Amino acid sequence: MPRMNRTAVLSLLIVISSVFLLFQLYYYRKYVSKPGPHILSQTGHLTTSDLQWQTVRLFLVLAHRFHLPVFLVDTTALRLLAHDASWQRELHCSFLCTDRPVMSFALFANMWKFDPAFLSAAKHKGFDVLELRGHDPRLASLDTLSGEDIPLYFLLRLHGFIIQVVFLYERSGNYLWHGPLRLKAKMDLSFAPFKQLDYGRHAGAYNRPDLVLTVLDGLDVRVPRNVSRFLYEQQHSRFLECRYHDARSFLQLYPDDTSPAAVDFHRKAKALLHLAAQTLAVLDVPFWLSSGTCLGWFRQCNIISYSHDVDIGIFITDYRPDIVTAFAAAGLSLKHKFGKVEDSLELSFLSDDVKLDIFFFYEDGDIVWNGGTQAKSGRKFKRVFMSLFIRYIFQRFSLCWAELLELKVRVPCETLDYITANYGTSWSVPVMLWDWKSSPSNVQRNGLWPKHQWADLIQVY
Amino acid sequence: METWTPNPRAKPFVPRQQRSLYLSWKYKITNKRTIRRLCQAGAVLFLLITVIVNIKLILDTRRVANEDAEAQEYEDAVPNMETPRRPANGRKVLDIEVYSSRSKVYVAVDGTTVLEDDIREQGRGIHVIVLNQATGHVMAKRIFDTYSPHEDEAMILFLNMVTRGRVLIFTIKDEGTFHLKDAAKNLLKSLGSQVSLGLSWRDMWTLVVKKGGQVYGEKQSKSPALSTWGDPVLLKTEVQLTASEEAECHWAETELNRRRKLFCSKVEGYGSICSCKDPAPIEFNPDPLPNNNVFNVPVAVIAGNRPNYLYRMLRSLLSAHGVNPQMITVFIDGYYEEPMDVVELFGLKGVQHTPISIKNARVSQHYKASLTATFNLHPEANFAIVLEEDLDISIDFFSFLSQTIHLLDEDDSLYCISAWNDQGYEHTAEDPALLYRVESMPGLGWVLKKSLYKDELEPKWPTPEKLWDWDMWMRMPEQRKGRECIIPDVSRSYHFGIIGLNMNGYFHEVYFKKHRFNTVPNVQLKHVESLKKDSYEVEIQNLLKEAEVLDHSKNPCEDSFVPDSEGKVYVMFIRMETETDTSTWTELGKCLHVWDLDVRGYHKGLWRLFRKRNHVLVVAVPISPYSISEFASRSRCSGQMMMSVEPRHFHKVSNTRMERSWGSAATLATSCSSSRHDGAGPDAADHPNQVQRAAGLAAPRSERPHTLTCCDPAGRSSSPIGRVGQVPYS
Repeated sequence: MPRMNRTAVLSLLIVISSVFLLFQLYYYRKYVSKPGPHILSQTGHLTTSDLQWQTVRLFLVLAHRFHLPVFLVDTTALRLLAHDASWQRELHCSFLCTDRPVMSFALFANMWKFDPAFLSAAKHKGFDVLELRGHDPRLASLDTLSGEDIPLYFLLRLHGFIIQVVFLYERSGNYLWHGPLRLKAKMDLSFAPFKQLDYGRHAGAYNRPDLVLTVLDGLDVRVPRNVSRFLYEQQHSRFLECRYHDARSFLQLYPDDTSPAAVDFHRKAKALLHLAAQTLAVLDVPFWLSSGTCLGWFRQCNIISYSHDVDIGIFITDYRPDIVTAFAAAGLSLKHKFGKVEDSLELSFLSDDVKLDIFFFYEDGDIVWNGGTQAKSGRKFKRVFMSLFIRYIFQRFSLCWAELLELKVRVPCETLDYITANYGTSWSVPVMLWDWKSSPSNVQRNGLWPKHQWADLIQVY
Repeated sequence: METWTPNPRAKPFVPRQQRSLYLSWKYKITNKRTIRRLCQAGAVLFLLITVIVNIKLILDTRRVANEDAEAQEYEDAVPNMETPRRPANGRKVLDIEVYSSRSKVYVAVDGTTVLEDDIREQGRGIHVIVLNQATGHVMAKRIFDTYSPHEDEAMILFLNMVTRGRVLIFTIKDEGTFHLKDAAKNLLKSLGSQVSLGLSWRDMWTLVVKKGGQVYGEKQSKSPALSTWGDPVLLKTEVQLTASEEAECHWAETELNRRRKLFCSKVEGYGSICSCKDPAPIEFNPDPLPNNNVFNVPVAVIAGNRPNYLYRMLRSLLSAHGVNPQMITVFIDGYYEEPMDVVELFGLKGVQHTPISIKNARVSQHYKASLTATFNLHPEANFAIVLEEDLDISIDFFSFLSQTIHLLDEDDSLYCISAWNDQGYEHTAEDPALLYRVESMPGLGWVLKKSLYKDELEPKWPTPEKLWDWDMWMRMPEQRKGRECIIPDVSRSYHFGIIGLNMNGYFHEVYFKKHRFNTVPNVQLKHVESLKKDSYEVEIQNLLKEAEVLDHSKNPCEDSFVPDSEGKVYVMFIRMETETDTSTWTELGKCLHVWDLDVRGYHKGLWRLFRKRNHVLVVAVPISPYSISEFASRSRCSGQMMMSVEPRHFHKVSNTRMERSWGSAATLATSCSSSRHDGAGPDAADHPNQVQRAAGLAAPRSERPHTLTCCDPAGRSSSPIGRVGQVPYS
């Protein structure tokens, strides 16, 4: 009898313990965590990459719970993704473990109703939380409006890793904007390695990216569909807000012209600028606001109503011969063409009696210049009598995004230098009659075009 | 199980092959007792450890989960209240100074002037200030001009709304007793005033009292004679602050009540919102709309400093079916605190705007800034709903817009969709499902298309130095360009504002109070597609074909003019030679008791309204294209019959500005008045700036005499068909 008993008890024990083992698995999955990479790690204790993976996972779980519409924007991780470097790294965490203490996610701010419970839940999960707020740029305009500060960034810290959540706001030029990350005096300056953050040094502007849901290192993450395009945009994303405060002061001194003619010009110029931006975007040719249009943006956040044209600049390295045909297809007729690709090229298009001037800029060491050709022609025979060509010299500049007339456009980042080069230090005083031959302060006479090339160099339609 | 231990010293284990396949198999291959025993012991030990570890794990995870829950509860309790706590023994004392005199009043709390009014001919009456008994903050400031009638009733209402325990400060400027009736005096007495019953003409008086508590001080100086004022009085007193706990209610700890608590600690005069027991709700959760086409349309609420109005307005707005609070932004013209408090009470987004310019131009600039900001805040939106702070919003407001908003995209001849029918009074509007096209732009709750604003209006919006009304400007032909607005027969908004830039009580009583307002939810609108340009003409022609011509020999002002039928369509004709020849309509408007201050709510010289449940079409002859159809032959009078006004009785007071609400619908009034019969006429003409008077001019309507005549198409005067008043036709 006892013998039989013992076997029975043994088998019973086996059954019970397997049931418990199942229970253990169940509990482990439910309460502790899903089997993560540290389970697989050989050493038995958590490595840094495991910690980073855990941190990201915890964040994504939270984000999912509070319906944060986030996607991955971390440049390092996206670069790894773009080059598909998984084969050369640890198998379990090839993208999200970046050897950097920061991981950046972006959040579509207008798709998420701000919920303070998210932050308290994050704190509760062990994250240290820093919320950074700033002025709402959508209220920045020539009117003085003030609303509640909007959230710009969340910084969540766990195990020494920082999750940076970048709030992207939709702006009226149909682009996404994130603010600059600025610390207030009483904030913890050592909260994060701020210099290593991908986002926040400047405000930035982006096109709305197409997203795809993918599985990275076992986690569901949304990433931009075109990763390399996004990374390219990220490098050139710096955004300059118009200086509304100064513009208001300017407009108080020199009120805007609201005559029907000025309003009409405003409408046409806006349409033309939108059309030009659209056409050049298709060709993938970057351009920036130049001369009077740039001055208008900088000085009064608008087009100068008496300027009668729209001026844009393009680097000659971006020149493509099909620009003319593309503009023609868009309904812009070529009015004249001065210079040649090698030297002082300038194109003028006409639409609805507003002129679009495209100046091509040539880089030469520390300076950048564009050419101007002054042609005097006899009306009757369309014969050119004289042609002067000159150069406008600028310091080398980089390009930033700005908003003008509900359009995201580029302007030189060093706008003040650029404008001062053109208009001198008294740019803030309107001058109705501007002589391009002599008025600009950066003009340099270059001489006369050789006569036998005139036919090529000066084409007036 | 845990206590079970294998006993190796018990009987030796003799394996039996039949017992278990496993054991027999093991036995076969090892066949060594010790090894077998060891194996058995090991297996049992392993199983035991597994069991123990499992149980521990379960217990551990339980504990962690419980701690989680506790921590969660704890954190919920944290935002509880950050009331500034004073040490219990160091209760603070407020020094209060109150001054009352003929030309100046002031109140200072702890040396800070919280009220000062020494402007001539302003601020007459009883000034009331409510202080928070725990913090000493000013929670409400009101003036009740109890020299004028009914103001004492408003004061009673207000004082009854103030929470018990608050500190009330009263002071009289100039005169405050002429219409201070006994009811009000008794209330003041019950508050603790010793002298209120004896307050009389031109007495000066101050009182500081805790509602439902002690009197801190009271002073009065009697007026020695009818022609003189009492001497100025200055009351200095001290008020002991109470602990904040005593000043607060104990509502459940929720996010909503956190907002409520904050609000109630700052302001007074909002009735049951701050009542400790059963406070009024601040979240409404109205039904959503099944197919809401306006869910993502931003709503801009244009507001000034009328927080009580804003409160009423937002309540009705947030109760409307299909509202999306996320899309609402309140734009406040100025850095006023109380309207912002109201906005935050409801958890909405508020934006303050630095005022530019003055009067109408200030409103106009505020509109522009608000509209621009609305489209900036919602770049993806193609429309914006524009509301004002003095409107009640109908329960089916969003349903009405959801059913019509597509028309703005599909029909270029449309200018706006408005919730307001200028002619929709209780006796002239009938059918909530009926829509009209009108050439005027009513405003008062309307939809603006982004492209219209961005491409046309914004670039040429009147600049700050132009003292224009934005709505007047929008109605000008240069802007409207012949486009029309869609309006409902029964308005979806109700204009309740009595005080305002262009509004006073009388004006409101006459022109706004009796406006019909829809209270039926989910009205299914009729023939929405036929509101489009061409189909609407077909609709009108059909109506006209069906219509019976009214008997023009009767007086249109008399009740019998429209037969006592129901559901019929009638047509009548009035004389209108040119666009500006509005006198006949104005007279007709007066006897119909509709809007008669200018010509509104017409479509190509045709007005549509209801009389005695019959649809009445009023056609202006000859400017309306509808006047040249087959009706002439059907008309009972010889030739074409129409109403017309004897012109000599009327002269135009041109460019007289009407009294209008803060940015509400109104235009330059071409107010008709007969100098012969209307005493107010010349008066108004003498004071073109006094807008109230100009509006009042249209005044005692029933007494306004006018003469309507029946004319033939040639315009010759024929026999009078109607007379009102004493002046016979001659």
